[in-house]
Amino acid sequence: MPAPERLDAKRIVASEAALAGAGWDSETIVMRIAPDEALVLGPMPDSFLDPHAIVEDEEGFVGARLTRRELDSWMERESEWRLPPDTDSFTQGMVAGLPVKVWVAGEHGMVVTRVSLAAELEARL
Amino acid sequence: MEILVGDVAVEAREGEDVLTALARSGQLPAGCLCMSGDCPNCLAVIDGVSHVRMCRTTVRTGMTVLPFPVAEPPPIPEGTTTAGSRRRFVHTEMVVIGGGRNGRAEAERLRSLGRSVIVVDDEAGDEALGLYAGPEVVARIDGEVVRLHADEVVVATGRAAIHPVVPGSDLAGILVPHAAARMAAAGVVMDRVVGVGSLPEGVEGTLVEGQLLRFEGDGHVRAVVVEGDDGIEHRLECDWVVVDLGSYPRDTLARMLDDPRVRLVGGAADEPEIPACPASGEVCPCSGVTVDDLDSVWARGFHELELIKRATLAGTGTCQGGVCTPYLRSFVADRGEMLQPTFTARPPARQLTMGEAAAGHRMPVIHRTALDAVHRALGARMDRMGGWWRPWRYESLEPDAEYWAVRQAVSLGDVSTLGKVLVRGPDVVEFLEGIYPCRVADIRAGRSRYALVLAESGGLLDDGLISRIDDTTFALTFTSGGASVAEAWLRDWAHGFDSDVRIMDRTHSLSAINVTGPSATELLQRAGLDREIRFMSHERAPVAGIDCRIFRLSFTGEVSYELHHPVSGSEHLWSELTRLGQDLGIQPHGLETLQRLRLEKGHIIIGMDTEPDSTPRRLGMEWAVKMDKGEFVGRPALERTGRLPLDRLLVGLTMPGAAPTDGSSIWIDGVIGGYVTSGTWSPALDKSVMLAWVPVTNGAPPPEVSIDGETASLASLPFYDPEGARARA
Repeated sequence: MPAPERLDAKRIVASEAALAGAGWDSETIVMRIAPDEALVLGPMPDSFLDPHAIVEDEEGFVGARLTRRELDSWMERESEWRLPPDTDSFTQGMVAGLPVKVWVAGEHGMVVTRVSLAAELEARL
Repeated sequence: MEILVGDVAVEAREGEDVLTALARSGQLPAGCLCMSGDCPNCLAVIDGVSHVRMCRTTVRTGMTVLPFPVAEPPPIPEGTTTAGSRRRFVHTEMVVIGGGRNGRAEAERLRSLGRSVIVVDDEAGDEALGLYAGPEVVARIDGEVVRLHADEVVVATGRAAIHPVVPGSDLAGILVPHAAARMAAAGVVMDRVVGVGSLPEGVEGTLVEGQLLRFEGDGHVRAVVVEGDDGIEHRLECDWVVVDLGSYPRDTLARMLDDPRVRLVGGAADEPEIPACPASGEVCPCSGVTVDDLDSVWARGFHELELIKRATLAGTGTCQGGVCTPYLRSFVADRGEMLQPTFTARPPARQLTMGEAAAGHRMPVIHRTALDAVHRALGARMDRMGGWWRPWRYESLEPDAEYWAVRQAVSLGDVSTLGKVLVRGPDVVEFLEGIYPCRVADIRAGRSRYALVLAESGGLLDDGLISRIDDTTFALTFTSGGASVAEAWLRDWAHGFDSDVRIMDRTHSLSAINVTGPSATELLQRAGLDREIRFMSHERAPVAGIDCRIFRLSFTGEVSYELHHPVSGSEHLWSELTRLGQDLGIQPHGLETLQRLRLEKGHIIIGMDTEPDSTPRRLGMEWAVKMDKGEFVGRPALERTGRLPLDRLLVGLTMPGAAPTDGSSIWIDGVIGGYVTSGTWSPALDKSVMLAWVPVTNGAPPPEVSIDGETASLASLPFYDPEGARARA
């Protein structure tokens, strides 16, 4: 399994409408980690509708990029819950005793957790 | 092939079960045998694993078998017990437990409806270990522990033969019909067989009708006595007895979970045949409970089946009532004239090794700061505090070296674990005024204020800093222990107040290094800080090339700067500050030293020095509460409790000699009146200092108390540098 790497991301807390209405680049991975919060990998929109949005550089997460097959195998061993059957999905929960976010796009996936748990994620992948 | 039973080699045939091999060699275990896995009478330690049913275990060359009872439990395996144990999760619509006729038919029916079905087939060697909420079936399949999450579970486990309960039913050589048929088919020679009720096909013997009265023998059955329809006792000599007393639903697994999504089919769903109440004999072979035992608890008033179970332990053993349930129900029906429902069964239904129980289990995670490797490389003894690995002490340093570095030179501490939350929005001031008991509106941009966090009860929840970034943005800090709930707590109140604010938890996104000591300012200047930062102020500026928000504060009592910075810059920042501070006498400090330093300053630690009902008044911290401002969380409780007499107080105490252990009792006039929350020897003050809860009498705490036979004196706080000149220098 590939080692997790620190993500060079942005984190945004803004109104739900502002997040939904942002003009995201097609290359950008937008993980909606809460209704008013997003973890963003890739180009950012020029502006948000929400003038009070908090937008910060984010180094607090690591991600391990896996194939869908690797991901499914890991989930079968370590997760009480299932990934959605959809081709693309984003889910959050406990896997292997770790709080993780699981992003899936087609045959690619990424397991994201806090940087403070990077060593544990690597050991448990 | 040969297996080793105790010290004796026993011939066994390929593919047969251990019990059959033993029977063929004349080593039958005591008690009636079912050979269906229902009873506890063929338990053994097999290859070091205890409580294995011999009737369900296929022989292997070299297998070691110690039939129960064993003199002592098997030794705990050396090394990791999870070695070789695997676990996986499977999600399916339906699980059918039981591969018999009804189970297969139900599986086929469900598949024809397009449902995904997994069959736990005992005939194929699968074993259902238990049913749990979900519903979830835990099964052993192909040597692997499989946790089956299903929409619905079908229990198709059929019926189990009812065992006899009469005197002598613990003798060897007694079989239910299914067991007799299996042994006969396996070629076990059975001479002088008597069948009570019926004899299965393939078993030759004498058939007798009537009520079973007792078995006779000495270890092995030698005669069976029945009462015929004529009322006369008939004694038949024998070496084997086959007893057919009917059957009972094999419902142990279904009794583990009360859930409408668990459904019984086939024989398991049929009405039970309740046998006649036994007059005497052993009802529960797992726990050795006799009819006399049942009568004893009945006489003491235990008349509910669940209570009888608890009072006697009948039904709590290996088979979880598989054998005794019919008789327990008949006993209660006989004595109480009412048939009561059966009782709950508990997993596991089969033996489970510690390795299997632990397979795939993950220990709770402990977070690591970005400096974790640095601390370990420096020889830190790491400890788990507040969900983080934190350096307790740097064991490579001389005793007190960390302490004196802070008091006399400069020191670095990793405070990355502090809770850090950004709050922004048009309602932010109003929101924070409602949260905190201190004033917020008058905190100017660039300034910080120490703040308490109160529960609605008025008790102290947490504490930290409120730092204003700009008109509508504040940075809040919380204790390491309180960080995990701070964001949720703020969000709850924002929702409750309907405040237009944005809240972002930055605890894991930012590291923080505390630079503290008389030379702290000089060190930061060497690292590139080009401006003065006043006490309780903050600035954003680069330090050693790392973008930091620098908070000037003090928890240690010396000049202190907290450098909050991106986690990627932590190691560089730490190493540069260490390099630049070499000639200043820089050393790191861990939590042990930090606790000593803060105690000298009389700073509390939430949860260590406080209790849930520790109000600011009881803590002597009313200065941090402004009752002349508007509403805030906890205010009504403070108003109410403020009208009551003060009953206890957190105070400072000093005493000569070593500090007492945290939690030590405080004696006042010969009775225990309080306790020490934290104490330490103070090298700077040359005495022990401590915080302690003491009673308040006539409006004042006692001037002196006794702790471990020593006198401790009341002292004003802080103990060290009471004017705070050093921190503000």
